[in-house]
This record gives sequence, C-alpha cells and structure tokens, in this order.
Amino acid sequence: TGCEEKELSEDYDINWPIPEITEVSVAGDVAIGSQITVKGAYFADAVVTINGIECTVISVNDTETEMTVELPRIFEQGLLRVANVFNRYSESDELLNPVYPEVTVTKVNDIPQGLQFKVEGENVDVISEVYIDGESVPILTREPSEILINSGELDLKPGQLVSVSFKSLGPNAIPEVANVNVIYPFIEYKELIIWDFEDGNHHYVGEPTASVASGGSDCPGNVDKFFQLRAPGYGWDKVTGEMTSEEVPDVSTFINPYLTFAVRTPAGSAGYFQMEDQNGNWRHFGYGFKTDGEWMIISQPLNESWEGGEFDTRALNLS
Amino acid sequence: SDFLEVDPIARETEENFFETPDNAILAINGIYDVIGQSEGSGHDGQWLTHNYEFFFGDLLADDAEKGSKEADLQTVQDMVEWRPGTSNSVLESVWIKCFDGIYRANIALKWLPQSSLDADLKSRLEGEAYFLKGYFYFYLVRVFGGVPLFDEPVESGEFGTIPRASYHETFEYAALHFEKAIERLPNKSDYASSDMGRATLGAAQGYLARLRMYQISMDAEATVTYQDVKELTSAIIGSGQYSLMTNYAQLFEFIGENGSESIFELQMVEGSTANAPAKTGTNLSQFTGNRGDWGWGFQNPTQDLVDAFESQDPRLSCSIYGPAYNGGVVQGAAYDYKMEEMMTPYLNRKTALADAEKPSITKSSAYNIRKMRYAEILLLHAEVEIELGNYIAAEDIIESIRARARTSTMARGFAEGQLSYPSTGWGGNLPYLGLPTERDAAIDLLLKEKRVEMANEGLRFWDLVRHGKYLDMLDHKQATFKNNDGSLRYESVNLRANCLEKCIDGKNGVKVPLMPIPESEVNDWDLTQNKGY
Amino acid sequence: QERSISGEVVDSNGESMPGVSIVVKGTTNGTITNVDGKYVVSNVSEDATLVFSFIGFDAQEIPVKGKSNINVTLAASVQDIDEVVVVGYGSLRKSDLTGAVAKVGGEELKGPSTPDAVQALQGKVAGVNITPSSGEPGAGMNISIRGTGSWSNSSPLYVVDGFPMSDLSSVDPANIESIEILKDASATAIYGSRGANGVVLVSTKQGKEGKMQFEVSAYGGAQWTSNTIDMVTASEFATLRLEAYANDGASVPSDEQRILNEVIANNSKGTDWQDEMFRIAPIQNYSISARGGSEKSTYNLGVTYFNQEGLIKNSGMKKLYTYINNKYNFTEKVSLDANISYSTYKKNNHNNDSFSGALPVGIRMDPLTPAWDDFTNNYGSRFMGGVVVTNPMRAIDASKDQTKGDHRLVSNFTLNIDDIFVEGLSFRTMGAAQLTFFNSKNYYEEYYIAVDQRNDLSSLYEQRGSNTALTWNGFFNYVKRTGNHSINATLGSEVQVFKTSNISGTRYDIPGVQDLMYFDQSKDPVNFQLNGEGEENRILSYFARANYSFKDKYLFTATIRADGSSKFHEDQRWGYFPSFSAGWNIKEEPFMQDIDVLTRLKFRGGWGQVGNANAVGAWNYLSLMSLGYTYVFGESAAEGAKAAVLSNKDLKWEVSEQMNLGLDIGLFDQRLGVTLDWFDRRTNDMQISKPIPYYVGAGRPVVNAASMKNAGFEFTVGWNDKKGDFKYDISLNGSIVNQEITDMAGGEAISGGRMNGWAGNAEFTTRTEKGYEIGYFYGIKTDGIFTSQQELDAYTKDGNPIQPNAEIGDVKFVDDNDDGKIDGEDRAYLGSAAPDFSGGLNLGLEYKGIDFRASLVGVFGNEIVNGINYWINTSGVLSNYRTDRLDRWSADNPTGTEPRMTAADANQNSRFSDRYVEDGSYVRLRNVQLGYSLPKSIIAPLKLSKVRIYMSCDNLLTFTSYSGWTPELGNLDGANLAPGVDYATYPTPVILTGGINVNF
Ligand SMILES: [Ca+2]
Ligand SMILES: [Ca+2]
Repeated sequence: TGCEEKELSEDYDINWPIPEITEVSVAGDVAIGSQITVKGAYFADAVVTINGIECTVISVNDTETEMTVELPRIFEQGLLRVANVFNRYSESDELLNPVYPEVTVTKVNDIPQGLQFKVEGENVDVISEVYIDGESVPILTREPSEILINSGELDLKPGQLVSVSFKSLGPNAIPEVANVNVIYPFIEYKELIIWDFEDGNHHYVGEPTASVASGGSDCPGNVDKFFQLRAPGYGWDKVTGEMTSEEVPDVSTFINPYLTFAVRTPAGSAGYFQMEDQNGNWRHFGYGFKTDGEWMIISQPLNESWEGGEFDTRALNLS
Repeated sequence: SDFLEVDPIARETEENFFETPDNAILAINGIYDVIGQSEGSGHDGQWLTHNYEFFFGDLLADDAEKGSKEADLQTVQDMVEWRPGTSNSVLESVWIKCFDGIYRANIALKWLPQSSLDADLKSRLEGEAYFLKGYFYFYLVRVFGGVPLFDEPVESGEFGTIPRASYHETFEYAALHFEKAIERLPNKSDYASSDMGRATLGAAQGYLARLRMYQISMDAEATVTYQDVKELTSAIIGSGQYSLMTNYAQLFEFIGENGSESIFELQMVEGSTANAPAKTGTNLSQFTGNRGDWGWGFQNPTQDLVDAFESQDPRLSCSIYGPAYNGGVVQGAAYDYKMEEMMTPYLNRKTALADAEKPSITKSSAYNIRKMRYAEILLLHAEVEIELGNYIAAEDIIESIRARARTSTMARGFAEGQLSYPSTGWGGNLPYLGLPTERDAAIDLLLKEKRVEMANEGLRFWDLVRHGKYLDMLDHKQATFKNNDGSLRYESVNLRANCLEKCIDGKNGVKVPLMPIPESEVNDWDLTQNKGY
Repeated sequence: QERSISGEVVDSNGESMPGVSIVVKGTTNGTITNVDGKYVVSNVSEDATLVFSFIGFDAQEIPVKGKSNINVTLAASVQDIDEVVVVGYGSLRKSDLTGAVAKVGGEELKGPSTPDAVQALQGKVAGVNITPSSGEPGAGMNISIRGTGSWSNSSPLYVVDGFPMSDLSSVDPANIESIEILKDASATAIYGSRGANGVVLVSTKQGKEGKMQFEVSAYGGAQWTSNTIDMVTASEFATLRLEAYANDGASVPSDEQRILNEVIANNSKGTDWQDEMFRIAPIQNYSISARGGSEKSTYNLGVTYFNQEGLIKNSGMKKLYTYINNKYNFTEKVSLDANISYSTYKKNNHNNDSFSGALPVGIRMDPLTPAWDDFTNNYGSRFMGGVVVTNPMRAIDASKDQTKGDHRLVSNFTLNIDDIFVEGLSFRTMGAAQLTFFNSKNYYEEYYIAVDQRNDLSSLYEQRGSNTALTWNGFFNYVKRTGNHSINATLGSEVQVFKTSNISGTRYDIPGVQDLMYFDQSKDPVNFQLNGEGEENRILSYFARANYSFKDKYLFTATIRADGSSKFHEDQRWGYFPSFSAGWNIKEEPFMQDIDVLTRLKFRGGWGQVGNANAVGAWNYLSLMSLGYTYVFGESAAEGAKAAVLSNKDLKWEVSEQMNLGLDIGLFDQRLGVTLDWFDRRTNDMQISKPIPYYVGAGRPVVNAASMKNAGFEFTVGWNDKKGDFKYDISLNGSIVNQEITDMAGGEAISGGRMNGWAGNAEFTTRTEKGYEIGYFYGIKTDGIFTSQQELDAYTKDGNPIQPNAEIGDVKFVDDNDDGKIDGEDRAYLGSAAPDFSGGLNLGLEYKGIDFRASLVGVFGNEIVNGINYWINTSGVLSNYRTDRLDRWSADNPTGTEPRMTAADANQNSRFSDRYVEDGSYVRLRNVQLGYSLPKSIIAPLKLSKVRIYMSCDNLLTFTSYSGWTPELGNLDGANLAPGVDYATYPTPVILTGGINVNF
C-alpha cells in the first residue's frame, strides 16, 4: 500500500532565468581570437565558453540582450555556451569551427638545463606540441609572438645539442630546428669564486702546447675578464693546460662549496676538467663540455658529479 | 573462583608486552602516534581541538594572522591577543597531547630496560623514546613554562601531590632526554628505508641545539654557553648526513619529503580514515587551505611578512599565495577566494597541494609536516658564530642560504596551467649583503634572513622572544596591522600590556610570555597557575 | 454418605475452562478440570461444600446438598486481591507482597501500533517513564524507573520467563501474558547486581489444555507527522538576508544580489523542505498464534510480521517474530517448560547527523535551493554560500543502502519438580541461551552536486558480530502453612556468561549497484580497513529469600544475594545485596472488620541495596595494551600500541540503596484501588571515568566516585465497575521525582549537549554537577532585546557598557556575575529535562460488543533545549529562518520582538542562552481505540469464537507549548548527560490504523 511519492521538483516555483541565444554573428568556420556578437536575453554576468574554454566578454549592452565576445585562440569545434549567475546556460544552435592561421617559428632560444626556454615567431601560441629530440615537453605560456616551454622533465646535459620540433593547429608544417644548445642554467656565485685570475697570486703553469689569455668582453656574466685555455691538442686525451695555486683556498667551512668558471670550446672541440686535492686525490668532472664556440658558465658543487667520488670538502685543499 | 577469572581476549597486558621485538616496536610507534595527531580524541576519548605549532610560532608573531572566519577557533585568536582563558581548548589540547606522549614514552622507558631484547635494538628504541619525551617536554616548557616532571608513569596516589618543576629544571629535563637520545640513536643513513622518519642522532642533536639556544636567553638560570651549541651544530654539519636541497622550491613539495635537508619531519600517508588514532595523514593542508577551494583558511600570512622579502626573492613564491599575489595562481591553477573569510589576502604556500595531490579523505593528507630542516641548523650555527664574534664564518653561512635561494626557481605551478618549476628569469637578485661586524646589526640581518627563509615554519615567535624583540614587535603589530577593510585590527586590545603581565624574566631583560595551565589542573590538582592568569 | 460429583466449569462466555481447581472445603480432597472443562470429585459427603477457584476469577463455594452434577460458571474477578504476582525466582500472592510491584496485564498492552512491548507500557505504571529515543521506526526506548538511577546506564533488567535479558526486542508483544515491574530495592534485591534500575518481569503466554485455538490478527494504516515548523518562503528569506547585509553595512556579493532580487521580484515560495522530506507512510502488522494441548503437554506457537515505513523515505523497519512455548508434564510433579523463539529485524539507518543528516540539514536549508533541479537533472545545489551542507534529499536517498539488523535465537528450558523430598519443597532449574547475530552495512555512494557537496570515492562498511548470553540457575522453594504461620523460602544459585565479538571492515571504490555492494567488487586493492574485537564476562551468584507471614497480617521478607563478577579484581569481586521489608495487612485486624467499604488496607515498608556494573568494561581493572595507534615510517602506515587507560584494581560495584514506604487501599469491593508509595533512592559509588589530572597522560580509569539521589512519591488510583452490560475502568497514575547529584568525583562539572552552530562555533548546553539534576541546562540568561538607544545606553556597569558591541535590536544578556561584561562566566541554571510530575490516565469502556480505550501520558515541569531554533533562529545569513523571525526588530518595526538581522552578529545574539530553552511539558493522547466484537449469533455458524474489528490512533493529539516538532525526546545514544536536547529529533508519527482480531 505504497503512498504515491511526489516528484522532488514538483512544487518548486522559482524559474531561474535561462540565458537565451537568438543569434550568433558567425557560424561554421571562424577565425580564432576573433570578436563575435551574441544576441539573446538574460546575459547578466554571463560566462561564455566554447567547449569548456572561456571566451572574453568584451561588452554587454544595458538590456543584457547583446554582447561582444572574443573567441579564444585555441578551442575545438563546439557550441557556444552562455551561462549566467543562476547556474543556468544555453548553447548556440550551430557549431563554431576554429580556423587557425599559419604558424612561423623565427627563433628557438637556448635551453637552460632543467628550465624553460622561449620559442619566438608568429602565431606560435597555436602550437599544440613541442618535442625535444622527439620527446614531448609541456608549453607553459602562450602568446601569439612567443611561447615558453618547460624542459624540466627531460634529462638534458649542458653542452648537448638537441633538435626541437613542433605540431601546431595551424594549416602549415613547421620545420624542425636542429642544434639547439643546452646550456648550463645561468648562475652567479660571486662569493664562491675560488680562483681570481686577476689577482696575480695564482699561477697558470702551462704545458708547452698551451697558452693562456684573458677572456674578452663576450664572456657572459658580470666578470669582464676570464681565463682562457687554448691548445692545439684535440680529443679527450690531450691535456691543454693546468693551474696550480700557491695560496690554497680553504673551503672547509663552506657550506656546499661550488666551483664556478667560464668555458668555451671551439666548434667541434670538447673539453673536460679535473682537479687534485692536496692529498693527491684526483677527481674529474662528471661530464665534459662542448660549447661550439660559445661561452658557457659552469657552476658545479664540489660534492656532486665528480667521477671517482665526491670531494670531502672538509679536507679539501685545492691545488 | 576460577570461573570468574576471565583472561583478556585479544589484548595483552603492559607487563609482558615488551618481551618481543615486534611488540616493543609497536609500543614505540604508539608514542609517535601522538606527535602526528593534530585533532581528534584526547587520551580520555574527549575531542581535542587542533594542535599545530604554527599557532605559536607564526600567529603569536608578526608572520601570520589566525585566518579563516573571525568566529572560527576564537580560542586561537584569544592567544594571539594574549588573553586566553584558562580553559582554552587549544592550549588544553597541547597540554594533553604532550602528556599523553610522555605517558606512552614512560611506559616504554619503564619496561624496555628490564626486557630481554637484543641490546642494539633496545638501545635504539630507548633512544627514540628519550627523543620523543624530550620533544614533548620541550614543547611544554616553551608554551607553559615549568611543568611536572615524571620519570615513570604516574601512580594514582600521586595525583594532586606533584608540583610544577621550575622553568629551568624543565628545560634541563628536556635537554637531558635529548642527551640520552644522542647517546643511543643512529644516524639517518643507518636506518633502513622502511624506518625513514624515526628519530635520528641528527634530530636529537638538532633539537638539543634549538633548545639550548632558546634556553641561553630565555632561562634566567641557564648556564649553557654558545660554545655548547656550536659543538652540537658543528657535529650535525660535520656528519655529512645533511645538505641544502638545490632548489628551495622543492623543499615543501612531496618531492622534498625526507630530502637531504630534512632533520625531523612528521610522516604522513593518506591511509583510509579521517579519524585518530588510526588516521595516518594530516589535515594541515586542508586546515590552512583556501576556503574558496577545499580548505578551512587558517594561517593567513601578513603583509608584514610579505614586505620582509626582497623584491626578487623566489622564496616569496614558495611561502605565500592568495588573491593579492600572482593573480591568485597556486600549484598551476587560479582559484576563487573568499576575502570575507580571510584575515589577510594571503595563505600559506608551503602547505598548499596541487589538485591531484589533495587526498580523497580530506582530513588525511599524505603531506609530511616539516619540523626541523638543515637550513635552521645552519642559521643557528651562524647565530652562534655571531655571538662568538666570528662574523666571517657567519657571513659565509648566511650567504650560502641566500645563494641557494638565488639559484632556486619560483614555486612549482607558479605559472598557471603547469606544475613545473619556472625559472625566475632574474639575475643579480638577492645580492651579496655581507654581514656587519657589530653584534646587534649582525643579529638583525640574520633574523631577517631566517624570517624569510623559514617563513610559516613555526619558529618566528621564539626567535623574537629570546632576542628581546617580542614586545616591540607587538607595538608594531598594534600600530600597523590592518583588517581587509583598512581598519586597525588590534585597535581594541592592548597587546603589549596583555602580554607583559604574562611574562617571566629571562636573561638580560628578555621577557618570556607564557600561556595558562589548564584550569582543571590548577583547581583540582593543585598546580600553580602562571603569572597574569 | 459419600459420592462422586461431576460437572463442567465454563466462563461467562460459555467457554469451557480447563485447569480450574475444585477442592472439598476443609479437606485436601480435590481435582482440577480437564481440557474440556469437565471434572469428577470422588468421596464427597453430602453436606460438603465445593470450592471452585481459578486465577483471575472469583472463587465460588457451592454446597453439594445431595447433587451429583454441579455445573459452574466462573466470573472473571474484578477484584485482584488474591492475584498471584511473579516476584523473581518464584511468585507470591499479591496480598503477601511487601515490595513495590506493579502488574500490567496483556489486554492493557494492546493499543499502540508498535512491535516493542516496552512502548506499550507508556503511561501505564506510576514512576515508570518511557520515551522512544526518536520517532524513527526501530528506534530504541528510553525507560527509567523512579528517575534516572545512574548516568552510566539506567535501563532496567528484563527477565523473560525467568531469563535475564538486557532488552525485550526478542519478545513478540502479541505473546505477552503479563508484565510485572519491580520498583523498589526490596523487590529487586533478589536480582542483586543487575537490579539497581528496577526489574521488568515478562511472562509469555503458555499453552492451554484443550483443542487447538487460533488467534489471528492484522492491522494496517498510515502515519504522518503531527507538526511542522513554519519557515519563511524564498522571497522572505531573501528580504531578511539582504536586511542582514544592510544592517551590517556590508556589501552584498553581486551574484547573490541578483539571485535574491530574482526571488523577491517573483515573490517566490521556493522549496518547503519539510514538505519534501516528510511523507505519509504505511504501517502493517500480521499475527497468528495457535495453542492447545493435553494433560501431558501443552503448546503455544505463533508468528508476527511487522512492517513500518518511516515518515521520511528510506527509513523504516521490518520485523519478524516466531516462537513456540511447550510444556511437558512428565508426572504430576515433574514438568518441563521449553520456550524457543527466533526473531529478526532489518532497518534502514536514517541519517540524523547534525551536519549531514536529513532533518538537521533540511530544517536549515535555504528555500532557494531546489530539492531536485530539473535543469541539471541532479539534486539541487545551493545558489549561495553559508550553509556548507549537502542536499538533504540526497542524504535521504543515501539511506537506502545503509541498513542494520539482527537475528536472535532464544531458548529457555525450565525443569520443575514439586514436592521433592518433602511436601511444599519444589526445585526449579533453568538453562537459557540467547544468541544474537547482528550486522550492519553502510554504503557511501559517490556523488557530485557542487564543489563542496561531493563524495569522490565510494566506500562500503560492513559489520558482523554476535552476542551470546547464557544463564543457568537452580533454586529450591519451600512453602509451608501451619496455622497462623506461613513461610515461603527460596534458596538458589545462578551462573551467567556473556560473550561478544565482531568484525568490521571498509573497502573503497565499489559500484553503486545494490547487487554489487560486496567487498570483492572493490576496485581499490590497496586501501581497506579491517577491525575486530571481543569481550567476555561472567557472573556467579547465590541468593536466598524468606517470606514469613503471621495470620496473613504481619508480613516479613528478607533477601540476600551475593554476586561475583569477572569484571572486578579478585579483591573487589563479590558484592552482597541485602534487603528487608515488612507489611501489615491492617484490614485483617479485628478493629477494621466492621468497616465494610474498605476491602483492603495494607502498609508496606522496605529497605535494600542493589548493584550495577553496567558502566564497567570487561577488564577495566587491568592495564591493557591496545593497538590502532598508527604512525607512518618509510611512507607506509605502521601499527602502534599504547596502554590505553590506567588500571583501577579498586573498582567495585555501584550500589543503589533504596527505602520505600507504601500503602495499598481497596474500597467498595475492590472497585476502587489506591496505591501510594514514597521512596528515597540513593545511588552510591557511581561508576564514572573519573577525571584525573591531564598530566597523567593516560585515559581516565573507571572509578567509583559520584553519588546521586532520586526521591519521590508515586500514586495509582483505579476504579472499575460494571452496570449491566456496561463495564468501565479508569485509572490515573503519577509520580513526582526529585533528582540531585549529591557528590561528584573531584568536583569537576561535566559539560554535555554539544551543539554545533553554523558559524563554526560549538557550545555545550548542559552541565552535570553536584546539587543539580543530571545534565541541567546551562547558559546565559537574556532580558529581551534592546528596543531603544536609551535602553542600550543605560545598560552599563561603572559607566562602561556591558555589551559594547550591541545595537538596538540586539539581545540583552544578563550579567549574572555582575562583572560588567558578558561571557561564559555568566552562564546559569536554565532548567532541566527532569519533569516535576509525570503520569498517565487510562480509560476503558465496554458495552455489549463495543469497546473503547484511551490512554494519555503527561509530563510537566521539564524544559527542552530547542536545538532546531539554535540552528535556524540565527541573526545572520547562515541558514533558513522560522516565520517568527519576520517580526525582527528594525527601525521600521520598532515593536519587533525578535532580534535584528545581522550577519556579523557582533553581539553574539545567536549564542546559547535561555532563548533556546523552552517549557517541555506536554499531554499526549498516546492511544485511542474503538472496537466492535461481532455477536456470537453471527460468528458461531462460521465456527469462529471471536471477531473484533477496530480503529486505533496513536499520538492523535498533543498539547504542548514546545515549538519544535515533538516534545517527546528520548536521549540520543550516548547522550546520558544531555537529556532533553533536541537535535532535530525524528518526530513521533501520528499512526492511524484499522485492524481485526479473529479467534477460532
Ligand atoms: Ca608523506
Ligand atoms: Ca559577567
């Protein structure tokens, strides 16, 4: 003997205004980012979206029956939805289909290891995918003239050369950009320069095959003179130069000391670095560098990335 | 008769519990259970309100307002205004929790020495119990001053007969326990990975260093010296167990849990219940989260704190977020905020989770609560060096802290739409400052660096107190802290006067304000109340 | 000359009466009637007189005068003077009673449409207060006898056919013959450690010699809520809300302004949540029983099915009872009673949580929100902030997958041996067991209504467990009458064992389909919870009782029971519970013989001690390690243990000591009966978790600490008479109890009755402390509202305003401690849930085939904390408002009696105060029933012996000034210290039914 249950919404007498769309100035193919006009009713504080992507409402007229809306730069084909403060919404009758412009990449900037880098050009914001050596990497921010890309997920090494390729929503293919430099992130350690080559106390003892010259003003950073090694030797097994210090810097009280220096290798050449402490223990850098003629600043913690084990910084007397 | 002797089902009695290693470990784990709780039932099943160290360390200082709606947790606001009632539920919960932990530690310390466990394990477990007991007494002495000291579980005949020990005795008692822990605990790296999170030698040394440092100026009877502290901090630095993480922005993300910089942190996993004691997570993230999103909105960092950051310090992005900063973006998303339910336009970024990291049991997040990290030890070391006149050594340390910040990225998800660590794009930021070779100026510089390095980490209040700067700060707070509508927040209370009447004397004119002992302990059990209550 | 006499005994309906005793007066010669009501007595002299007697009927003496066939019609006695009363391990003639014992017959229990026999006792017995804990079908009953005897557990002991039980839920009310209630200590002391809160003795119907007789009954009907609360409409709500913003000078969020304007412009009603939640619900009940038997054995068996749906959808209970009572007479002196019953129930768990439950949320929900939103095709989400709660209709829907139930099997075997060794000495031994298998299953569905109304992860909780209660007892009973001396002595022993264990688990991510709500459907292989526990305790007892009467005039009773319980440490294990009582049948004195109108005058007096150990867990005297105190290491949960509470080896029995003085008066041939009792009941060594210093760090041990007293007076006046075909009876009972806590452990007051306000504040509303009732109401007193600036300015102390944040229209609070400010220190006594007077009025009429019964209950002088008002009569914007709030003070309505609207509520108008404490007195027409029995002439040809049709209505009328749904509030579970706090309690329904009883 069940009693007839009434519908839950039966007695509800509030008819919240539902936005009406009577006319949309465009239909079918429409240029991204273009401004369109929507007519209808109940546009109070409306939120306009297309396929979940919010459009910018430029203006609404006084009677809240007409508004100008700027379409997003990226959206998928869909209906235009107008929602109001009463959580009510309506959708346009006809699908809007985005038309994307041609995309031109004019410049791919160097990639600081683990950080973001910039791709410049025209309409680059409609690039949908960016690949570094074929691996997809996320796009952080988009402007028509430049996008920022995060390389943090990839295991890149400074000195490495990579290729950058793209997929875009635009009609044209974008050529791959090869030989993009992976650079060490710009880091400045004024207080931790171990060697100050300008003070004359530290002597370079060069092999006969090498010579030393001061760096030029093309060196990055705010130190205007740097030490250069030049050598006719080629390949990894050639020692090009060596420095020793008479006055041993004491880094034992340093917290996590770094060695910082600038380096550049001629195109096609690579180099690496090794260091000996006073006990005669040798360590060499965990990686080499190949800078293709560009300056690069290397800043390396003494307890990381040294092959043969980390330096015990408490006992470190550099020589 | 035998008929009426019914042996307990499914339970074991205290007396025989410590004879097996598994059980003994269970009993030690049961002590840790207390430190992980922030709300839930107290030792007698009555509900306790929250216990978070930032209530004291940050809210009593100039770093944060209570937050949330005005009426919510009025008890905490009463503390902020230095007029807590003597049955303030938050203070009671701190008192109850600490003694709950002490009771559990005392049970272990009573039975472990008599047990027949393997000597190494026994020593380590004793070390953990000593550490935790020291932890609870150190917490108590900072909040309440001298408290009753118990070497063993309290007998019913002792109820009401035990007086409070002096402030000095309580400090020394906590210190003694850390010292006993130091004799017994292994290094962090000596633990199996499945034991990560247990008290370590470094944690015991670190807590003792912090305690001694506080004691030097807050305890008028203290005989401890800066050299004593330096030995502790040097031992930690020299241990090779800890280093600063490369990127500051990773410290407070999940990736930074138990990292190279972690000395002691409360371990959390989400688990399957929101309720203590079976709960294994924390509601800290929800508690301090955005009310426009999923949170309860407590701990609103102040403009004063924000202004303390240098203009290009990526640590700011890692310390705060909110409607008045970075377009409200946090963890890669722009959220709505309810300004009417915030006391400042900021929230604590260090406890903020990305959407995907929010637990489905919202009160039980897996987010570990960082209690002590290596940067603090370095800064304590630098402070000691200043006090000992070694300005260059101090300067190096402060610079190393700044250098790490300088090369760090912005907070994860600082850019909307991505959970990456955007580079700052800055160069030459956080310039080299050097360090004045005059004690007071050097200390000021150190404290300022510590304030931004350790923002919202629950330390600021005691740093101000022990340097005799707290009452002046209250004047500053009184004169400058504002509500969202621009009116003065503390217009109708006199913060300095309220606080001053609750202060005891430390060394060299340092005034140490204390919170009230729970009323029932005073009325029913004859403990003396603190001054001013 | 001696001869044999034969004949038949019938009752006034002409039914043959088996078992009637026939004795030749002055001899021991006699017999009883057989199954057909026939008898034969031999060796009767001609001038002898036969005495025909049967319990509940007037005895008749008929001189033989040479007849050889004597047929007798026995009339049911209107008098009850020689009624036999079950008193625990035996029975006594009522005239020999010295304790306070009340009896309720089976007929009186018929009335309310309930499957719970306890509820039927409501208003029937002086000093016995019964309230359902809520109106939800299957909700328990709160019963207290002579006040709340202890805060730990004041439920009485139930003894069904000699088997002690903790409730009556396994007993089919249709199978109850009578209920006796032992109220004072001299009556309950024989139950020792379990008798402190009174004892309810239930006798079930036994088989009857004779042919098989069937009794079939059925009823069905409808239920509805008696009262709804008038709430504002959507447009009124919007007006009040905007006014709150305006009064605070606060700007209205623009979206909200539009929303509120919209409903004001359309004068919308919005959602009437009560109308959505409450419904008219069906109820039905079917019973059939059969009894009969022979000289060798009798039987009574039956089945009852009950189904009640709740006023709120997805609440309701189904219950099934089956039973079989057999008796085997092996010899004239040896018999065995074998009673077996099985019952089962299943109910939905209605959610009444104050944050997520249907009624507490529904009463607060704004009327703008739709119950169901046709636009989104989902439960309506809220349009504005404030109440962070889920749609109550969704909570109601969720209850469909949240159920609990049990299966109970009770078996009770009693062997009776009469005249063992010597005449008058009998031995009885009973072995009984109750097995209960309980289960509950709660499914929490995934849903999404809005960001703050969602559950993203489904879970299933299931619990299974069992309780076992075993009792064995054996006792000797010796009855001897010699001349003026009469002795009735009992000596026995009893053993009880209680065991319980359960397992429970939770798993996650389970499909929302009823057939798939099983653990193996979980999609989450990692997270789950599994728990289990067990407990056992035992009691061993010895007891003795002696009744002695001299000339039926002077009566003495002494009882002693010794109980040993495994719950206590060896040294405290045994409790000894003595009692003494005396009675004086004054009417038997020679000087009273001439007063004819007086048929009975008896004075009773007694003293006794009884025990209670309900608050004590099985091993409270030991310090046990318990698990579950988890932490985390290496990113995984790690189990931990602690010693949970301090042990207390000194823990002992809670003892209730009671004095009782009573007077039984019978007048006008027992047509008027009056019973008066005065009692003074002290509960000492009350077991509580005693406050200990927090610095101990351990849980509170249970100790014997507090004391309380319940003293009072109770009366019953009954009149019955018969004029031709017209029979009627009327009885009135009442009691006055004065309750007071006389000692508290440590002196610390205990707060209770926590109310969670919307604004995030939580306040306690009750307090338990020395010198007051349990859980009296404790809050700030008010003195109206400020109606003028003058009044506001005048409210000062030493020139400073007492309420600095108040404005005109705000509540004026009384500065009770006169310190110039309003705070928690100003809280004071605001009343209590303990009534000054409670009672019942019962009326019965019979005329020819028509019968009428009415029963009223009344409670006076108690207060109620109206928690509903606490939630909805805020000044602010947080929840919906009663229509009363429309009369808020404003400049336009300067005579308004309600506080002004304000969202900020700087004056804290909403805090707990006497504004929420209301008079809780009520009179309720508990049941009214009109029946008609078809005349024999119609039913006899159909071979039916009785057909009765009737209409019955429960709770038809309630007279009260209380403004909530119902003034009849039971304690919520675990709220012993907060009686009378209304947390939007599920209201008691009005139940209208029609029914039929058929006997054949
Ligand atoms: Ca964790
Ligand atoms: Ca006052």
